[in-house]
Amino acid sequence: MSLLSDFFDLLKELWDKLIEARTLILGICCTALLAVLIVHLYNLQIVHGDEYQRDYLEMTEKTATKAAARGRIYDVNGNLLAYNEICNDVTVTDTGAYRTANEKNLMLLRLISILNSNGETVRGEFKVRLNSSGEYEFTTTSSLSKKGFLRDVYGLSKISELDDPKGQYPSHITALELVNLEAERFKINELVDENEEPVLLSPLERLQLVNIRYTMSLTAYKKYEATTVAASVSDDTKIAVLEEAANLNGVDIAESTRRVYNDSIYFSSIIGYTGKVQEDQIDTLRAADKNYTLNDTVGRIGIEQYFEYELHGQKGETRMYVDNVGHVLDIISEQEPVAGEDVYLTIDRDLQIGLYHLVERQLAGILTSKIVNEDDPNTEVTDASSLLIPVKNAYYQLISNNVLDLTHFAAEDASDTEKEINRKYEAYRDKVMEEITEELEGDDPTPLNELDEDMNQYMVYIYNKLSADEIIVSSAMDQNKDYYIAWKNDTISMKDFLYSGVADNWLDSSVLDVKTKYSAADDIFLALVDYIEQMLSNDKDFAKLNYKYLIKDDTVTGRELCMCLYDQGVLEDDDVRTQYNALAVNDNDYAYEFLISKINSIELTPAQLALDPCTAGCVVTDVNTGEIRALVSYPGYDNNKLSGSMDVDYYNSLLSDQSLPLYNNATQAKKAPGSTFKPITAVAALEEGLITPEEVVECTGIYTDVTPNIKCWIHPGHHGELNVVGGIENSCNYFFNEMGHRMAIQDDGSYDTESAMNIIAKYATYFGLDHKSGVEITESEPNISTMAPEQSAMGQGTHSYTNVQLARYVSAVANRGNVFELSVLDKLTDSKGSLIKDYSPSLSARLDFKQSTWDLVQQGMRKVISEGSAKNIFSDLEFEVAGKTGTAQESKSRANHAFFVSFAPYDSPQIAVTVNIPYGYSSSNAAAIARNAYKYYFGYVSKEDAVNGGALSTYDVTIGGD
Amino acid sequence: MSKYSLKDYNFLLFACVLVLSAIGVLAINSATMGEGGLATRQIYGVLLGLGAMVAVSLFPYKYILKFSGIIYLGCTALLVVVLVYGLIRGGARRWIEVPVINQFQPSELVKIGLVVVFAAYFGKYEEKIGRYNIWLPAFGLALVPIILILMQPDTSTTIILCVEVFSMFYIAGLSYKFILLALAVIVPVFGAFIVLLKNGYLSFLGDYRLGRILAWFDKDAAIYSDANLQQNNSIMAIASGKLWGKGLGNAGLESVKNGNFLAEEQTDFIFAIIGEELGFVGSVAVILLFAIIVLQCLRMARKCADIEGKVICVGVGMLLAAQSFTNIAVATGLFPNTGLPLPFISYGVSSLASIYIGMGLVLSVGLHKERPRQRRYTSS
Repeated sequence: MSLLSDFFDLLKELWDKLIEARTLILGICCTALLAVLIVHLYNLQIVHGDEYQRDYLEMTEKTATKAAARGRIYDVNGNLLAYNEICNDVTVTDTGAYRTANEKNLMLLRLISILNSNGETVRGEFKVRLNSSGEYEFTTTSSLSKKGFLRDVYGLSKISELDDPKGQYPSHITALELVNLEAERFKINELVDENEEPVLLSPLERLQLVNIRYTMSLTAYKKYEATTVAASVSDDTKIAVLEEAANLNGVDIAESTRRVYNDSIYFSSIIGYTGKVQEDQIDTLRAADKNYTLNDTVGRIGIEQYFEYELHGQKGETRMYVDNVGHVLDIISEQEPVAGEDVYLTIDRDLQIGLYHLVERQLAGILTSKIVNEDDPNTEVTDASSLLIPVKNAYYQLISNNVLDLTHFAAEDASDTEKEINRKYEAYRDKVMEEITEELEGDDPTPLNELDEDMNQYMVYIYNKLSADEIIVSSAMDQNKDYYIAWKNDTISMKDFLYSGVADNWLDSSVLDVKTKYSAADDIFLALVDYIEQMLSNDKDFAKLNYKYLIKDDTVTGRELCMCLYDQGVLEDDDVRTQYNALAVNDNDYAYEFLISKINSIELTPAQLALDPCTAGCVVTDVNTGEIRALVSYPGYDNNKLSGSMDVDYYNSLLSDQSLPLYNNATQAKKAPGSTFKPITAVAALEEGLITPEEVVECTGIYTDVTPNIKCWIHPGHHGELNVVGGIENSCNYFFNEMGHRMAIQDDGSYDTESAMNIIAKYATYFGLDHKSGVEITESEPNISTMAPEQSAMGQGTHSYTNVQLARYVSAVANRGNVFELSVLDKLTDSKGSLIKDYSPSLSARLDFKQSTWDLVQQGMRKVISEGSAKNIFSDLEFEVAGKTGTAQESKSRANHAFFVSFAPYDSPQIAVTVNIPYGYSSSNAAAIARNAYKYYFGYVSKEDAVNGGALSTYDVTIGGD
Repeated sequence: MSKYSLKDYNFLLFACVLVLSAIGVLAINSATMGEGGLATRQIYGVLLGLGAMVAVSLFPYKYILKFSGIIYLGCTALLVVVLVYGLIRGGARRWIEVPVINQFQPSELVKIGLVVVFAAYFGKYEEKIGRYNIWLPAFGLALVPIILILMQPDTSTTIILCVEVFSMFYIAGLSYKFILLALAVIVPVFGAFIVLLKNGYLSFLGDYRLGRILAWFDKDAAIYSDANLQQNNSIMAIASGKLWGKGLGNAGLESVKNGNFLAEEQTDFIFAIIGEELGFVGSVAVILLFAIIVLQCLRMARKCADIEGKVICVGVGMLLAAQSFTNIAVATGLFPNTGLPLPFISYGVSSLASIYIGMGLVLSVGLHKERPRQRRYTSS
């Protein structure tokens, strides 16, 4: 016990001594800290040293890529269609020579003034432009792309981070506000010159400076990457920049390439165009080749997109070590790019060009035969194929389809005619606005059905616009309420209707500027009226609608509008302005003649007028190989302006063009085939043993075995007895109704729709109508009819096909059973021209039908041309054509769709020609295009004659049974 | 004035200071890649500092202590001046502009000034050390400059100063009871501070400081990435130095410094250069040199007979220990990112001047030693 207490005493004594030795304690503390440091350093440097070194090298190793020369595209004869032109770009690299933002901005401003004085366009990633009225506006084409852009500006990683609670990243920001924000960020607002004097920037310079600074900031940590400031500049610009080089540190002229398309208008619908990688594309591209980045230029659509991987080539690669801001420290390895492969199409350039013009000229011919100098040529009973077009509709289209720029009417440099038109417009608009205000605010509003037509249309316009702005929430309307029923019947005034919306809460007042906070219905309504007035005052579409009625009541005349065509440079006159002066001294009847003559001479094109018809497709197929020789979609567009850095104005004008130039009429326009389907039904009937070659069916003019009865086109006449050949030749509805009906009748005499539809589907599928044609560009999915056997048998029901799909089917009829996967691809070669791969279309199916079946169907189709209704059209040809017309009605108020499928020569078929004209009135028009196509293909018409010349006359024949 | 002999001059201390200074000049030369003449300026600074150190060491320290009143007032006045007229950099007023040396950081001078002040204070009241009424004014004296520095704001210097003052109080005989009491208060308060900080209740203290501290607590949070990036790159540099380093002033691609990824590498992050270019061997050598100096200071304190000398040696020694440890701990990621120069090595005249003067005082204590006296104070 005492031993233990001695021990504790000893410990206590030691402890006391220790705590008294204060320097020792401090020394121990210091030694402990020292040990901590050394252990920590040992851990870092000895244990993990290699890892950190590796991490560092990984962090500093960068790879810069150089795009390969994109492969060229040729036609079947080796004519160049798409290639790369060497051009000069102006680039800027941040060399660090300019230490302050001000110095950097001043240098860029010097560069900008050189570029501007040489007429170059500054380009960059800042998606804002200065519009013609001097205001900033976003160039993004959708709200999603705007948000994506704002995300990048704010430096966010996700769009969902926009509109944060703090309001730092608003998505509802005007272009002006955004420019100001960025000007602030890049210290452009405080710009001073060498003498510390503030520098005044024009709105354009300010935007350009923001654009360049923003674009450079995107690669701020990749100093090895130069920023392109102006693409494909002129030699003058190049010289001017190089002369100033001493004052433009980091500015350089870099060689790059520009995609150029020859004969662009004719081939754009096939070839498509290139552009920067879209964000929704990148994953697919990377899956194929991990080297793709968002900065790459890739095929966006058409052949450029389909053969992207072949055309793209292999990027050159420079691996290097860079410092913290990306200055190159050392180059590890360099690899030169490998040029992309060249694509040869099966398309024949001259055929494509010739056909395009033949199509255009035929459409013009249809228009000139339909446009009449009357206000109201159609009655309620006018047949869809006999509709006429009042000339005022054509005049209105000049405004409506932006052939004339109506904003120029109000411009300072407007011509006298334009100013006069504008004066009338403003007077009318003021009156209209007054009336609208009176209708909305006045005590005695008029029910919609008692309004004049124009006021009624304006009210409808207001309703549609409010719905589009989501102020009217139509889904919240109570369909049982009186106001709703009255609205549907047009027996309520707009004022009362909108008031009920305020009362019934289907009017969203949150975006309105309501003065009082807890607003009474009156306040909300007044705010709504303000909103409507504001909305209409800046609305180009509303202005166009105004013009519609100005033209209709002869306030603005066709004569004036035609004169404006010269004032605005749409049409060209001679030096003494003969044509303009003739318009000036003559009346509106002269203007009508004038307009028709300009359509006849194709100076005004069907695409510009965008009346019915303004579009068409024409496909020429080699029936023995399945190769496409020509694939025309009218109208085309200039893909040179869309490739690379897109001309946004041009793109937007294409989007708003009513003739839909971006839409491929040969592969995307999908319509009911009408009678062009009848040969398939004939094949099915013969092969299924539903009719024998000799058997006849008696057409009585009306098919009565189904209700409602189906009239043959000849009704009240009748065809009498017809065999298969006669059925096709006469396109007899009764005959094919009977075939469809027989498909449904079972052995026991019962009627089964499904088994009939199965037979139709089976044969449609045989001819490849169940899937896309194989053509390597965007195409719509076909639809085989699933209902109504009798109607489906004659091409109605729910059948719906594109031109190329019908081309494949008719080729198989021509070659007696080879159903190809159609193709526009001939071969791939490397950039030196050595063959890499020769393509030939694969067989989708081989149809082993009885020779007699092919004989009979081909005979029928031959007789359509030689004996039937299309006889006149083809009578002067020295070779034999077989074909089938077709018409489909989509709307009673618009013309019918026209089809023609055919092949020639009849004895030994070489090519198939298929034509579709949406709203083309009569299938004779489609047949007329095919006729000219054959004449041109077989060398009876020179290219010069096909391309030049005016509108082609139409054949005034009624083709029945379509 | 007592006689002194050269054998009492601590040449080991002198030699260590010289070697560290030389390493500093070389490291700065490498960090700046010879640009801006910073290394040359540092050589002038070192020479001046050494001169000042020798000069101060030759003065009997007790003589110097007589000016403690003026020194205290001068220090306090400078701190007030810097708060009013100081240059703002990175959200803090720490520098004043002066001719010749350009910029000057009064808080550096205060570090040494307080050593003199408290040496004199405890020397004067040596007899009454056991009483509380000595300590309260002492705390008051310490608190005024500490608060002024905190207001700049300069948290790291404040902490270093607290450590230094505490060590001096401790060696002067501050009772353990009091220390335990203080700990009982400080630890919970500090804990609460951290909790509040992490939950964002302390934003009134200013984003700049909080950001740096939070960055260290929450290393993955992107919002503090700048402060972390500086530190992470420093760690990457030091660790990749491995055993022998990449060579002083090397031009290799594997060098983090050459990739320009280091920030403030000639001042607060100079240890990144040492770690990267001299490796583990060089880093440990530098640390050991600091250790020798600090332990020599403590040894001299122990050997010193009078309380003034003890306070000076411990004050300067612990200042050195705290500052060099903190600096290296920051450079290697043990501590959050606070800006402190590495004594003798980092570029910067104010910090060099004050630390050399401090060393001069310590050398003076060794040189002018008195005969050991009976210890008159007691402690519990």
